[in-house]
Amino acid sequence: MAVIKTEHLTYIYGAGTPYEKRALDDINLSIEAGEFVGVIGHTGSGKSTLIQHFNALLKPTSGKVYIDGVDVWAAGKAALQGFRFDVGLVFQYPEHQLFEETVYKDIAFGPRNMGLSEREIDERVREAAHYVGLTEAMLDHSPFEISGGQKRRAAIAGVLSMRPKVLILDEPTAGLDPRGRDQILRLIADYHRTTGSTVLIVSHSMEDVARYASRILIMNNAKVHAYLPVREAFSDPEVLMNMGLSVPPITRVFHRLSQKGLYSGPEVLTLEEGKAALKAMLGGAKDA
Amino acid sequence: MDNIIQTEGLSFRYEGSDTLALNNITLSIERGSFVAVLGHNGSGKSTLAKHFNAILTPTEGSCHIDGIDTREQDRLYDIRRRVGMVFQNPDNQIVATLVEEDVAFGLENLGVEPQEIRRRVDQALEVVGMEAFKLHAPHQLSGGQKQRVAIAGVLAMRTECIVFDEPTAMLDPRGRAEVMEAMKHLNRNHGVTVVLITHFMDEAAQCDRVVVMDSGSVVLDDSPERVFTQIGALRSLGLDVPQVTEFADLMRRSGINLPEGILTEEACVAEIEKLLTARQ
Amino acid sequence: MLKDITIGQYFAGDSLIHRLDPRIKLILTMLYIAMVFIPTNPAGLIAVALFVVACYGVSGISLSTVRRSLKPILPIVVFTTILNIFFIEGRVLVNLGFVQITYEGLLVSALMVLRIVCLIAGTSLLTYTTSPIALTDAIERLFAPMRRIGVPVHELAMMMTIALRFIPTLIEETDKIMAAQKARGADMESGGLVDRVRALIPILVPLFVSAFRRALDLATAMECRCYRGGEGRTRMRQMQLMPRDMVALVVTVAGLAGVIMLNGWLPSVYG
Repeated sequence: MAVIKTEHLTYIYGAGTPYEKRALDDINLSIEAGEFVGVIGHTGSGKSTLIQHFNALLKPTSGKVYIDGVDVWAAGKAALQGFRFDVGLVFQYPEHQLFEETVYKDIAFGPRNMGLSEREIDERVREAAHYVGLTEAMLDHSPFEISGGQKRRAAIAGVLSMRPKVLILDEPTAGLDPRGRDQILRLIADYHRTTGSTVLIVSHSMEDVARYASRILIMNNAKVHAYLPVREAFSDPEVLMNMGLSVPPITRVFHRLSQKGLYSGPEVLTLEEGKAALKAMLGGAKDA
Repeated sequence: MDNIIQTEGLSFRYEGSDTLALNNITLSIERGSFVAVLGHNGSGKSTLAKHFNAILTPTEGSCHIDGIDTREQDRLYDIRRRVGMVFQNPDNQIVATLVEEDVAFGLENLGVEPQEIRRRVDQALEVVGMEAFKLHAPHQLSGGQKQRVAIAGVLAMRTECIVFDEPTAMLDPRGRAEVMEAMKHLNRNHGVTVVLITHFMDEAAQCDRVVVMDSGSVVLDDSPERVFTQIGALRSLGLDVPQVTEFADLMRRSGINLPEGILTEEACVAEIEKLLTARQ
Repeated sequence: MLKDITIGQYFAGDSLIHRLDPRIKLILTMLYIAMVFIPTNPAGLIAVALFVVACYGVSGISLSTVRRSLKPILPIVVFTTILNIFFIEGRVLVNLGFVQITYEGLLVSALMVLRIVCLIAGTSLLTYTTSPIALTDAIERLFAPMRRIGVPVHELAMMMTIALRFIPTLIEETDKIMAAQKARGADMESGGLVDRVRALIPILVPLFVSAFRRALDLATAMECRCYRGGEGRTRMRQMQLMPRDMVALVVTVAGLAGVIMLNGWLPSVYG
């Protein structure tokens, strides 16, 4: 069943002012539970506006958003908070929103807003801390005294602690060093695998998207350009490049080889696939 | 004097800390070169960069800029007009409310004549391709454009060397490409020495030289071809290599003879082509 | 979006008034304020009103724009007008028993409303036709002599510039932090006063932390670009008085003199 669904979703910023801008234009989408979706699109394509509709932070100018089959804006104002707990949204540079005295209290902010008991809160804080790899000792530290990578993980835990059915992350690796990027991506992939929850990740890194996502949502000029399995999305690098996007370097290499008539297999997305493909090509050449 | 920057046994300790942030660094940056500095967060690369225009001065050892010791307090502005800096967050380094006023900021501080400021501001904006935006407010610009304005502000001071401290970390791919282009253009066509601190290996691969830092020391210092061959060492330092370099390494390890030093997709395609023709 | 709000509501343009030297415009505005308060008779104030309408005509800015500036002070205007109408004694026009409306009361109220409208319209014209930067610059230069008596004119102007520069950035940041905390279930719209104040903590703490970080970054960046205060600093933008500035000054001074003379010739409504 679709966990998130939109019907003719349109959003216009500053309607009636000189700054009026159509940020989303007739979006019809259906995201199945359990998917790992990579959301790509250049800056200003509408992807940030879209994900803020998925957890009821923005109200559509027209059209509908359904979470778990429920029409979000028909349910009344009191229900909105509930949708935000169902769909956890981690903003860009989430560590900039840390505010509590301790990491523990900050991670507990969401569960506390849910009105849970202290015992339940405690359980969730520890579970979330475990997912992001923060130690028990770290929970008592001030969130302003830990390292940059730890801050990022603490902030992500602050959303995981709500046990959302859908986890959306807006460029979770922005500004990190390679080790930090790897750690964050791996913990998200692990979280997806163990909980089976739906994950959407907005990213500029096609390598990361190719490695982790099962489907890709491509946004372009306020519209959904495509929503399809990763392999199909990268099958035509030129289309993506014309939209100001790119494909992983290894995909481009094999794409160029196939243009030269040297390779004729499916698109290569990862190093392992590249290795297999090149071996086959050389093996084939040897036999010939 | 061939080296714009020269450090000798430079060590630095932050006040109140008991470990050295920089440990005995001897490094020279040749005039006109394009040098990348890599290292994970906390490896000391930003601390080192801050020595290059006397924001910090060595606890031990020395740092000379164009022959001037950075500890000579009365020559601070001679140092800063030679080596400029561009920082990571494009929002936090633009002072003025108009692009051209911001580019003029440094020159105004130096007391340059108004007509001369106007001339150099226009020139600098042209070099970075931002002349059409000179009357825009900074918040109307994209991240890449803001960084280009910051570059123009440094360039207008006739800086010989620009140190970029992760200038693309907060940008989208388009912005990153813009800034990378601007840096290359400055280096090639205007003879500006560029020191680029970055976390992006594909950017470092485009430089003439790569310096790798770890816990306050320089651990590798060579051409990108040679540095990126040492994949294991880089990995253990929390770094990465360009994807095609990693691919070539993976192939070599499974017995397919792609040469070392492949850094770009073009090179990778060409080498695979060679292999295929050789086998036939 | 919050970030589209700009400070000072400047309308870019190329009219004669836009092109006047901002220093002169500041002085003219001060003269104009005097002009608004001097008239003690309807004729003088109507002349001032015609003057400001003419200025709007020259500037190319629609008079209806003024309505927006008037809105916030409307309650005060209405309140004082009512007081004036009912409490000034004189020839009774309407007698409601417990209060009476007098001819003098009406006249004084009408003049007061016109005075306030003229004041707002005239001073708004300054911010409508002068960019915040030009205004800051003009203030710095006009008040530069006060440095000798210890007023940190340059520093104040630099602070104003930086504030203007960062207001859009911080507004955008506030937007983002609010959205992020709402995403964690923060409730900012319900509850009593104490709850609402408490609900601000998750917004204010990150905002202060961020503003502080930005300030540190900016200070370093300014240092890197050789900033060392106002001493020995030159400016790219030069301000030069043009014939048109002189003409504007003469016209305004003549207007001021005219209003003063009218006061002498005509009887004052204030008795």
